[in-house]
Amino acid sequence: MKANKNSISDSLDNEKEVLNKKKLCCLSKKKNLKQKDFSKAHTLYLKQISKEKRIIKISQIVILIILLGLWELTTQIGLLDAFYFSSPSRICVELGALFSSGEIFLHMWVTLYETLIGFAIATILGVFIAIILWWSERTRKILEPYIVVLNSLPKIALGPILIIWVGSGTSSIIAMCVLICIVITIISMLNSFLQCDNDKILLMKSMGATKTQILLKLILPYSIPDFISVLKITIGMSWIGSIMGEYLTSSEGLGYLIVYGGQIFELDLVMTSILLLCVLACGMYYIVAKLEARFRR
Amino acid sequence: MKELLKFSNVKLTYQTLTDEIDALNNISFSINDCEFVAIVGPSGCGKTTILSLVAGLLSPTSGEIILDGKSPKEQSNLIGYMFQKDHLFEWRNIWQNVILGLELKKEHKNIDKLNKIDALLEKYGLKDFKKNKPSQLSGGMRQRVALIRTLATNPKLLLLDEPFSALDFQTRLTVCDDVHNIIKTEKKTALLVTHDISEAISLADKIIILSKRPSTVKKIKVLHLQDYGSPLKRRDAKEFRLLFDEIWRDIQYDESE
Repeated sequence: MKANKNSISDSLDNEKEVLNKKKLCCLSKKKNLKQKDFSKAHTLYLKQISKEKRIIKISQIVILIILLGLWELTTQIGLLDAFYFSSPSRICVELGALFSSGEIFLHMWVTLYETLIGFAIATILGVFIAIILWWSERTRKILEPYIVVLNSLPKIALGPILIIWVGSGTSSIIAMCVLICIVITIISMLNSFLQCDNDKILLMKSMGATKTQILLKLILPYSIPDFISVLKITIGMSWIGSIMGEYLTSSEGLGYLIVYGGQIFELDLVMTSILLLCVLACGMYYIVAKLEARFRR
Repeated sequence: MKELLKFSNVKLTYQTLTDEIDALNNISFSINDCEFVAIVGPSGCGKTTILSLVAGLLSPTSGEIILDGKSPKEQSNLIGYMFQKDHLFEWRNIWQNVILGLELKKEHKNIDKLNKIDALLEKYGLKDFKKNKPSQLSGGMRQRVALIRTLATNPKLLLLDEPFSALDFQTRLTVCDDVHNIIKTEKKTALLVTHDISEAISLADKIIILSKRPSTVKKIKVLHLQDYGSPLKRRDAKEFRLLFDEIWRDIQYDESE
């Protein structure tokens, strides 16, 4: 009986061992298989993704080449009048001329300067006003209709008044820039401040936080992602502001060149200025986007 | 045992544009030092309102609340509040999150207090995560961090507003154990608000059952499950089911009325 039991337990142990071995075997097999499968599928997957990326990049470049090629071709064979439509080759010549005379740097600098100053003032002032409106609910309610009106008003309509009030030239261009950007900054930032979870504010209060502490330690850091989204919008709008301003009153800047070129029917100048404007605006957007990626990490 | 909190005939009326809502009506109860008290009741009966009153965020319309000899508004140092969500600040790492309370009191350079927090983190297995962002932690760990953040200012009374209801059931049971263990080891008094009867029974020394609005105290049930140990083990107690049925009927009867 005893021996029997022993043998049973022995055989059980044996079985266990065998089972364990089988399990291990199975596991290692599975692992190997899995890894092989995985790596195969994975490389395929990676390949597909990089292929897709390549297709997109190539298509983008091809479209650009086709458009430029068509433009050049149609103006060369006279289907379009290069006098009215300019052409890539004429833009290249114009670019060369502008850069060799060096005058273009002044125009680019002026527009960039106006845009950046307007953008900075609008951002700082806008956030400051948003903080005030967050701080005092009563002020917010009192000022609400004024902000709504200011928001819906096309700011360009105020151009002539601006010129009279702050003088023609750079100062009124910057003012136009600020006007265009500030309202959207105020509204977006205020919204972001007010969206902060009420329980988080309650938590701060239950720990004895003052209103200043709630602002500095909760509301402002909480709103940083929204702040950067607002920057992305207002950076584009401040270009609108500066170019609009230059259309109204200026003697230098890319906006001035565009208007001037239009007036003397120098379409090469207009197109070249627009191209340079594109490059500057894209560059600035790129910087903000980089900033965003850093903060979103 | 010393009495830490006392509600006597507390009434609270909310004003809205269309109505006057009696949230609480003649609420009286008291909590002793180191007691774990749970408040249960039908939904919308003003459980959270009671916590807001204790935290001094609201004032009673009539009646009196005494927190360690004074009114709650003067005693904000004694209170630690824990919410349904952990509300950790994502832009701060774990360490910066737990010292938030000290920072607000401008005590974040006090080495003694910082060392105490350090010890808490170590004791409850969060030492290695000090530099991590909250998003890198699991739900249960986040809730533990939230509790340590609450404990960092050394409050006497912890207000727990359904602190486990945002967690999935598995995590909930273990975090429940953790939190109970931490509160008992640190010798804190706790006032828990929950809609989960079994949670209340497994955690509390005393359960206050509220009626529906305008809420009154329907029953105060003193439990004797302490000998069973942790909340998870209390769930195995033979009285557990009976208690559950009794409290469930108390609340249910009220709702069907």
